[in-house]
Amino acid sequence: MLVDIWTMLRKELNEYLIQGGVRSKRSYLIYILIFGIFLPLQSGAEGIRNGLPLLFFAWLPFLLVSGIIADSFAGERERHTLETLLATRLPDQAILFGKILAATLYGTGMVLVCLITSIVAANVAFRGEGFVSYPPLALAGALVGCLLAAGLASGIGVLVSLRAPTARQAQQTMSIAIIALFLPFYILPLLPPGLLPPIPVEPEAINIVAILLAVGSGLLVLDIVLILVARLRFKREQLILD
Amino acid sequence: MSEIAIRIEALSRDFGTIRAVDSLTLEVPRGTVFGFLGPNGAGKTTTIRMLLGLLAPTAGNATVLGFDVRTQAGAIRERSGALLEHNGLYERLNAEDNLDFYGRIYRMSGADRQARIRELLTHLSLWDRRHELVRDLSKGMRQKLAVARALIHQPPLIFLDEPTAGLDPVAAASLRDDLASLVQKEGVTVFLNTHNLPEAEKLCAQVGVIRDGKLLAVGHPDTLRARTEGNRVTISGSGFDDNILTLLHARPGVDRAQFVNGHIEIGLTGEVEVSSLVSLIVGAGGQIEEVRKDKASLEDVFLALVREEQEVE
Repeated sequence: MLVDIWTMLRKELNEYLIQGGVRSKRSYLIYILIFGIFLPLQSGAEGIRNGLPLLFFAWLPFLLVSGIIADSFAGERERHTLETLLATRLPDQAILFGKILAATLYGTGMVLVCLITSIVAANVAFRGEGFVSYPPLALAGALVGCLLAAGLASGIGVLVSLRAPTARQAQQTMSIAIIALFLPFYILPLLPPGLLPPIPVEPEAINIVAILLAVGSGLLVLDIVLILVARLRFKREQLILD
Repeated sequence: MSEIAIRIEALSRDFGTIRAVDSLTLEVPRGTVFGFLGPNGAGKTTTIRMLLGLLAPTAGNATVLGFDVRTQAGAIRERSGALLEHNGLYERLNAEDNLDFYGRIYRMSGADRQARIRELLTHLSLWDRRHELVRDLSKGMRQKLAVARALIHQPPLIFLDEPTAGLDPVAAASLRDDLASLVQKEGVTVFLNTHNLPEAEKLCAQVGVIRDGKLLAVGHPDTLRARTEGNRVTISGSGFDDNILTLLHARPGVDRAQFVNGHIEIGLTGEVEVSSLVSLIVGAGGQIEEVRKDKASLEDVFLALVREEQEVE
């Protein structure tokens, strides 16, 4: 099974990275310029030392993954490659997990590249201010968080893509799903103070690590649930008839 | 090991109220090229999908290479190759990477993959184009590449669904030649869906004719020709008129008589002396330059079978 998943994953990554053409290579460069250089440098050396730019990276896996995972099944269906793939010996799980893993690794890998670029760029831009880097714990947390967020985006995307007739429609549905996911973060601060439940403890007493662990665990559970649902919805006959 | 590669018994498939395949029963011996002939929408693609275990039959049974299509679809797909309705190639990958991916799917070792890719691409005159993206290849080359993909793991059975559809005549002829030589070289059983009758004539040892999901006839092309008792006589000359056609139609054993490009084409359904037809035409004022007697083509056979079916209905 692992060999089959690797075969599928390798093909997907090959399509994303190596043979994607000039357009996809240009888009990687744009992501690296914005998230790896422009935004971190805007925060200044002190901002980076406080881990402030890491907040920008919360969006990045969704941006990166949603574009490609929507294409995973809907795109193959649209380009008439899906039926041939389904007519091979590859087990259902290998096709599904290969595609999810490829998108997740792609999203996380790009975040890692942007993080490394940002550290290099900061040390070049702010030379003379000592070694500039993110707090190690925050950096590790950001990487794990990005991995889980990429997994979440992949899970949502694959579910959408399994049933969407075209890649474009899958991308549109995926965008709506992601906006819906982030909507509470934008709406809650806008609510009148009286409508929000009071925070029972002093801000200094909030255990950030515990909150991050809880959020991470929640994401992990959500990832697993989405993958299981996708596994249940993966039916060769349905995919062909769709 | 059974001598039968595909055994189908009363296989049916419904889509809602439409019966796409209706009580299909046939056997395909190992090592033969079986042509499944029929117009678009006859049920050919649905049959292949059922045989590959991609669609479940509504009724009936089928075994492919001894494996049940309902319960052992994985084993069937492991041992067969397919070129389906669309070539299924990844256009963003190059020719070699497409074959390499499918070689990996079938767990071929790196050395075996490389050797097999070289062998197939050389045979199909695509070796020099192996690094080109599929989207940059001509349609004929893509179809050849898809044939190579179906054969990459040396399966004992391949399914080909309209492999020459949409190709220009030169590309189609070239692909047919390559298919014929590859099939002979590899000794593979082929289940070939086609509505192209010359293709079936060239490639198939056995053909089945399907229409509206029903199998109308099955057998060797020559056997089917004999069954329709169809022979065709083409007479060239001058002075032909409608009166001659009327006289010809009145003769027993003459199925049809018509003008085709200035010639008279006569379809015979029984034992008729051609010399008597010549005498009749000359007697009616026609001047004959050439008389040519042809065997019925598969097209004639197909049309005759469809006519028979309509008469029964």
